[in-house]
Amino acid sequence: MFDLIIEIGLIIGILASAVYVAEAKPISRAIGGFILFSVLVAILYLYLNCPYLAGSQIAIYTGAVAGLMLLGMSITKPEYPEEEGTNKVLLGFIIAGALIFVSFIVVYYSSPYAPGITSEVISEVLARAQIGFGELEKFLANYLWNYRGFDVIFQAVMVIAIAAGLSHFFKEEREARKR
Amino acid sequence: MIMYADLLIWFIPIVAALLSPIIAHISRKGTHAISIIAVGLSWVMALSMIPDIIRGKAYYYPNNTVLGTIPFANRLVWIDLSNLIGAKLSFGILLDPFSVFMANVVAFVALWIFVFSVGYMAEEPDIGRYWFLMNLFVSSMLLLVLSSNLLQMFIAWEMVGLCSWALISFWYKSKAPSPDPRFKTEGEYNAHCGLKALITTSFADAFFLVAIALVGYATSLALGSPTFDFLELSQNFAWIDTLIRLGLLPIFSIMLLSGPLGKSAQFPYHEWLPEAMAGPTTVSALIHAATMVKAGAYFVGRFFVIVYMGIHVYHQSVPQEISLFFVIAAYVGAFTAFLAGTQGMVAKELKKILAYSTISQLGYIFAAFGIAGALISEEAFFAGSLHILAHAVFKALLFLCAGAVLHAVHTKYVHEMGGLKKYMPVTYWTMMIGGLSLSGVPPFAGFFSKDSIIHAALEYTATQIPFILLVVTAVITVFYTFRMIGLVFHGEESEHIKKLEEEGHHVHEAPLVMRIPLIVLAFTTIVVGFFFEPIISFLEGEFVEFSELPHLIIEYLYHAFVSILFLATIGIILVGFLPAYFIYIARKVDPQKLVEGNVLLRALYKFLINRWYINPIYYRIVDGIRSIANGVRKVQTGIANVNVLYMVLAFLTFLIFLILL
Amino acid sequence: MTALPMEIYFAVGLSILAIGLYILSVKRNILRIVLGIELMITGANMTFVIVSYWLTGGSVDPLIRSIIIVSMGLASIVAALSISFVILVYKVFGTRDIRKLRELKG
Repeated sequence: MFDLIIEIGLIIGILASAVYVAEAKPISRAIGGFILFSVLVAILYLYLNCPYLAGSQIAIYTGAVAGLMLLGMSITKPEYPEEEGTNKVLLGFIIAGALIFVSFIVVYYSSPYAPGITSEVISEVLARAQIGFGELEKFLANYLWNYRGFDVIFQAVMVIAIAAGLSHFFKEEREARKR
Repeated sequence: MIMYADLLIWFIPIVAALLSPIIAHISRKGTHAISIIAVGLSWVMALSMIPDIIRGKAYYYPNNTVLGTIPFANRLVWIDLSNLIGAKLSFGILLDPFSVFMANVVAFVALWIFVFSVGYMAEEPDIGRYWFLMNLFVSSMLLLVLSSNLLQMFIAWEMVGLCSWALISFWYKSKAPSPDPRFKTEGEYNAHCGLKALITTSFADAFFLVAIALVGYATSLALGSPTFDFLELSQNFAWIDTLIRLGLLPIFSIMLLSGPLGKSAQFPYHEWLPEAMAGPTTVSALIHAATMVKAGAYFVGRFFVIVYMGIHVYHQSVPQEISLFFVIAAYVGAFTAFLAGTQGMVAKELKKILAYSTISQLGYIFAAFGIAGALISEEAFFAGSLHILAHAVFKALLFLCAGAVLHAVHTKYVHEMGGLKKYMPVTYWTMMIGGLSLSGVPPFAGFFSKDSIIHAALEYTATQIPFILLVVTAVITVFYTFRMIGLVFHGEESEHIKKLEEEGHHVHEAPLVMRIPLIVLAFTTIVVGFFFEPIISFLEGEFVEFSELPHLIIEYLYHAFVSILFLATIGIILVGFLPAYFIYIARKVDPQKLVEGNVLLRALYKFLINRWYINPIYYRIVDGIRSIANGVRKVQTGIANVNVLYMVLAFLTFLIFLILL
Repeated sequence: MTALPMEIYFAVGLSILAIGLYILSVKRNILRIVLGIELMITGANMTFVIVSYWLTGGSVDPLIRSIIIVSMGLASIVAALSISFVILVYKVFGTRDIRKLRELKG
């Protein structure tokens, strides 16, 4: 009984605060809603027997991310109150509804009664495609793969790129100094 | 060949290309040295492949490990999907007389053009970018002629197109006034010329790619697994029968021909080559005269070799319908030769005359290969290949001479030059040698090759249209060649030159580093004509004893000189030469008055100077497509929210697709 | 296991993802969009936990917990970098409205 109340409360709270983040007019209220959201998600994690995750959620989201948001909001404050709000709310609700519908379809198709594309087909395809080896190419492949020839090649490419960049940079320095 | 020469021949220029921009910042002479050494090494590698063909087996020089018998494709299987879809994607180098011949032509001409451009681009600030693109171009051209399957050849095909675009628009930052009223600066005009070349060839290559895919499809239906390899295509002609059964062979022939026509600037894709003269002259010499535009002709020749080897070596029976490809190539080639020749008669810029001449001579080569395929005759094929060699040498020579002249005179219009004979004797004589070779005057190289092409056209008895067009074009060729030489070197100096002399920029001979390639190429074009018989036996893959060589050469010369066709050739040359001599060299008749006086000539002149009115049609098509594109552009609004909505839409489509399948 | 059937929790997790996507595609304010991104990441984490709880009938797999810790760390990095972008955008363009940033208009 008690479980049911907590669960229903959590679910409604999470959904409601997510919608509030989307729809609140001033940004500060949206960030407040986000803080409430992350706390509720942490409580959900606690309910599902992951205390470490819950602590991590509070520390990172409520602590770091929300703090960063507040910082960003306060630095970029304009002098005049800016206009907020959209006039395409209906379109947004339709898209959100479509996405929720799609999520239910995914749930249905992942149940054992409706199998779709499984991972077996994909792994079979991947197992059959091979890289072929031949006469002299075996030596090359051995060198490239077992003796890390690829690493040498990539390092050479990196060195060349760095050399190109450095030489360009020094040339510009020289020309700037000449002027 | 030298050990690993088949890999190194195209790998060394790529390494030089990657190093050039870095070293250009440190030392200018260093980049020149690296590029010339790289292309020199490529030439050495190409030369070292010749003994392989002569001996009939491919082997590495120091330790004599034999790899296989000619024709040999040194393949590396890259992706082996045999179990899944039954296909293998491989990367290979084909050692075959025709490809080694082309590789030698490309490497030799590229070497001397690189030496010339050391002097020509001496004051260029962006030399790193120039050498990068030139080296990349040489590498991809060598990869193109040596590749063993269609897909790899197509990759190299597109890479040469990319280098060509980048090199035509090389001076895109120039702020000089534009010669064309549609653009503000000359830089924009150059960029537009590069884009025109790129878009025309890409449009042609789209059809080519579809034809390649059709080859894959037909081979997968006929042989069980798709293959693009040239040797495998000639071993079993079941894929051609499949195409006939599907009713796709005519469309396939036309689409397969579209790629070579685009790359070699034949009708209807011929409009990009005259505009491509906006790039540096060395670029025009290398790319648009000697090598890249030969790639299309190379492919037609390669297809002929596939058909020929299938018949004679693997004893397949070839259906008659495949000759449609070659017949269209022959007619288009002959027609384009005539079309470009007439436009060259009235062109006003020096490089444009040479550009039209290039298109015209490529038409000859296409006609030769087309007739070879239509009749399945070897002689026409040899005629075409020899003309590739001769044309590469003398056209590169002519372009380099034009470069020397432009370097000295600082104008590109032929009417602003004149009387340069006493200022630039070396250039004059080398250009005269090149012009004589182009006109087909014996005993230069151009005579032998052009003569054999016209001889082959005579044997094509279905219609005589190619023969008539080629003969008329020969007359026109002589005319515009001597018109060009007369206007540039003979007569009086023009106002422009007098002004230059007064200002103190003396018109001088080109520096030594630019004169050496001219002399070398002139010497080559005089001498190589006599070596055509050994080259023919090389192409046949037969081994000729060294002591027999003089006898064979003398026999060949005897057959060439003592025939009715020889007298006809002399007649053709005289018919073309005499008017040009009187009008332009001796300056006895004024061309302006001649044209103004006659209504017919005036109409003809107007028609020719406007390039047969073909260009405006193309621009109208392009404008139509551009307005459609401007409408479609409105999809990109630049608003981030809209982009997210597009992503959601795409994801939903993908999900529904996944579920419904 | 919980009193309510687990499909409802699963639907909640996916709905949070949906709401985050809605914010991303409709709203104008950059800060709100960053909040939407964070919402989406939280929704994904939540879905992981819920499905793991569902499939193992009462406890969450330790592997999943470690993955989610990593994911949360990455989310904080995303938020930090996004806020620095927001501040820069405000400095250059003077507005917090992404509909005014149309430099990439085709």
